[in-house]
Amino acid sequence: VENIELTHETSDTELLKNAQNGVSEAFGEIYSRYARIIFRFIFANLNNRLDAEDLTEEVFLRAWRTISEYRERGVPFLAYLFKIARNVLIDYYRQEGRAGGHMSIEEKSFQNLQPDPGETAIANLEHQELRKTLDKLREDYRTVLILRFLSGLSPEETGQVMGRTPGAVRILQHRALSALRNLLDI
Amino acid sequence: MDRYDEIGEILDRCLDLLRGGQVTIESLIEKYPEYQEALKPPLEAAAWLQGKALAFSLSPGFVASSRRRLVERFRNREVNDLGYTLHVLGNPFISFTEVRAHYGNGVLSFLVVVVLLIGYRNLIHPSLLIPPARRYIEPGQTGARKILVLYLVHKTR
Repeated sequence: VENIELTHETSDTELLKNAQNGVSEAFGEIYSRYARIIFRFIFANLNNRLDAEDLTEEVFLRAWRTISEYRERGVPFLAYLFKIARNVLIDYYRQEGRAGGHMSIEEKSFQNLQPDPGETAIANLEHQELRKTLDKLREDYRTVLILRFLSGLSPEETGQVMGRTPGAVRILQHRALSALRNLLDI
Repeated sequence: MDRYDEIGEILDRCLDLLRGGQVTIESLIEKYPEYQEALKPPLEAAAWLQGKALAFSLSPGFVASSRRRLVERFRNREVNDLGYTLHVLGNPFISFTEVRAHYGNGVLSFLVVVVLLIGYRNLIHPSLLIPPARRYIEPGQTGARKILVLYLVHKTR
């Protein structure tokens, strides 16, 4: 089953079908297509890049383990991945809380900045600033902005993930951006 | 289409153009002067957000190396599962959440079925029962019948 030819043009549906039949390379291709989107969502909810990369892998490991239960007609695959990503984040925070490892954004940004030189440090500063600002927004505002501007989803895809119509997503996006503008000193 | 829908759609069109990088916020507002007040603040916020999005790039080469690692793990899944099962069996304090995260939700149903089967066949064996319940249970009786008899004995006592 591993000898099936997979190209960048192979449709998601076909890849999923092959992955459900145990073709690990098919799921590898799915990973390549969606890893960035999921990473950005996770990293927008975390302060540590390495943890975000680990959790991104964890999302796909869990998806692989449950892929046989997935039915495309029920939930679109992207929404399915985001559901797993949310659970992975919840588990991560629970574990951090249990281990007493919960720190404020200020503490973590200080910790993260120390070993990083040059551009990475600037990227970290930008990341922390964005995190701090987004944290002041309502949950649904934050989510719509992360999905649209960081994960780069379309209004239709965002609607699938958030369980709203594309029209409702556009209205929510407008409100979220207006609320964000009120928080900015630009 | 009400006003909110309309503004939402126009804003979305403006955002697409802004992402393309060939327009400015001012030029977009000039295009829709009647919506200037509704469009300017969200467009400014969007430009700020887009500027920060670069900080959310993955480390170079991460996807390729991570993909190789994952595919290898998927291929070895059966072996890993055997190893993990031995780890679970050897660790009575392991949390169910962890086990479920490894095997998926199917493990719950599987465990329930196993426990029911064991209970059905073995746990209520007449030799294990204290009198007087033992004398009401005969070898070969079905599990459901045994449970019913035990319940009645308990109730009448």
